[in-house]
Amino acid sequence: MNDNEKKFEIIFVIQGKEFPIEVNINQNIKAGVHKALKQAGQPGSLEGWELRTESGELIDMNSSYKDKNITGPTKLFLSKGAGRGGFY
Amino acid sequence: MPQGQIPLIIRESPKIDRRRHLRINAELLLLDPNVSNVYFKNVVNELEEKGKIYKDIWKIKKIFYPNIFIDVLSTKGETLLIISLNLRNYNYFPPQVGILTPDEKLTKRLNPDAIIPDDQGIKHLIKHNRGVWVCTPGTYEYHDFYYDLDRWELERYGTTCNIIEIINRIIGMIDRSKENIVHPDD
Repeated sequence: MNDNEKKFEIIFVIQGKEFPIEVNINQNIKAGVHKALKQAGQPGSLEGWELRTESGELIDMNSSYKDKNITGPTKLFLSKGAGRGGFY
Repeated sequence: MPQGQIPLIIRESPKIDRRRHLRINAELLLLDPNVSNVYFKNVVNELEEKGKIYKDIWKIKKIFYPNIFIDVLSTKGETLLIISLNLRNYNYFPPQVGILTPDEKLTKRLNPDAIIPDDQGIKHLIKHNRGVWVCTPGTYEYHDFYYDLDRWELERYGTTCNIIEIINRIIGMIDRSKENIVHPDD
């Protein structure tokens, strides 16, 4: 298997529950996020959702796993962004 | 105007205070301890059941009705600060949220460098006379301030206001790689 076909499991954590999804290293991250949210019973738009690593780094869901240097099984955390309110 | 209805605009008060509508002086009010106790136990059960998965990000420090203290951990595993959740009138009102130092003292401001703005450059952790105000849906302070625009009753059972979501959302506003989160002058 060449590097472009490499598959592994990402565990998306949503509200304290784990949702393992098999992904391809070149796949757009948001495809996996869509699947995880659907499994969590929250299908639909990704608007307002944020994806972070365990260290808190925000991940651009439009990039690929390879772009973000995620090359093997990893746990990623999904939660809603700050949303409304706040001050400049 | 019907009895008990409060005008949305309070005349002759500063603009910012108009938003604080004096609807009810709920800052220290305890509505029904039996009701809030039931909801408090539900929240504690949810946190104990689902919180373990976040063990390297946050953990429960202390539970004493109606308060829950959450340790926020740095990327090195040390306690950076504490999120204090007061569920005194939950879920008629949202949880009141405070930010404490690791030794449980109220902090009035955070190091600006440690506050992460949202994707529009807006910060949601704001210095306030009575401690840091967490300005985000799901907190008492937010829904009280935006009472006429954003009603807690309409979304308290929704995803955005889930207790785990609120904790994670607040932590997402903090740069956990920084060691000095609390402002040195506080």
